[in-house]
Amino acid sequence: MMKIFLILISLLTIINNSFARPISYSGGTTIMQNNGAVKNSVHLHYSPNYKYSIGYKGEYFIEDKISLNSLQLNNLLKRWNFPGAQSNIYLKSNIGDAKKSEQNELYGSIGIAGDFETRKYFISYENKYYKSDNIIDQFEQNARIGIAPYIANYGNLHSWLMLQFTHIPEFEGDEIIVTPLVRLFKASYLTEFGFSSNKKFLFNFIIRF
Amino acid sequence: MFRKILIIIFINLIDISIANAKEINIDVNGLVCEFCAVTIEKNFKKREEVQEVKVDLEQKKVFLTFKKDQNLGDEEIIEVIKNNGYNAVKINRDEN
Repeated sequence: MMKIFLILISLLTIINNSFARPISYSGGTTIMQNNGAVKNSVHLHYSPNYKYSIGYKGEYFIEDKISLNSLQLNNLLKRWNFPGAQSNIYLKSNIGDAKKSEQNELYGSIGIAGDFETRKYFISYENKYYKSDNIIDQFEQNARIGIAPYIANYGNLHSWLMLQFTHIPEFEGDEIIVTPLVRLFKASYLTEFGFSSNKKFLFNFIIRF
Repeated sequence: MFRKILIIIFINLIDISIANAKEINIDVNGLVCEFCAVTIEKNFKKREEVQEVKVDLEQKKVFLTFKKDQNLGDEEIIEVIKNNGYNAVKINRDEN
């Protein structure tokens, strides 16, 4: 446990990034749905202000057939605003129910996410540690780099070409799964699709309203 | 003839109204993505003083047009932007 904690802190100090910002504008509601190489998830959250959001998170680990249903709290720990760039660090924490076969038990998870973004370049990183008595004891981490092939202004379609790296030490011989993907983004709608090195489709979407 | 005069008066009234609508622009740090622009736009539109909001990601600026005889002070503008997680670095007011 201490080892995981040290890894989390080390990663936090080395690199700041995130998969997709987990907090919306004040009073904003967001639906995020991700279908990836290892798991499918849905996250519905409400942001009372730009510093935190709270909501439901459902996750399903495809290979291990583990279902997680939880309350997730996302906190913005730090934001840096630059002319033409922004960087954020978030803390994500969950508490809820883990289910495998007919067994249910309480689980908790905690993770750090960060990002650095300009209108042309994007880098993000996030990690998460899941723990319950018997069903789950897992660390995972994701990193992304992206480039926009053209710079679009507000109201136009934004496109990104990205590479996602997923690492779950317990999964498929400790391999790093690489997923090239395309992100399309307009106003309050974002969608992503790709194909991973372990031959799984990726499809994500986010709607903010 | 009377109809033409009425049309001319109406057009002049529209011109005066447009001239009365104050426009300002704000330089904002951290304005990099579509979600950032949506955030700023939605929150300024909630203010009853504001007639129109435009966000230009390229210039990193927010353009506000106020309703007739309406305005927002610098501190209020800075607060709206700060409450959405961004930094207003300069407010440019056209004093004409």
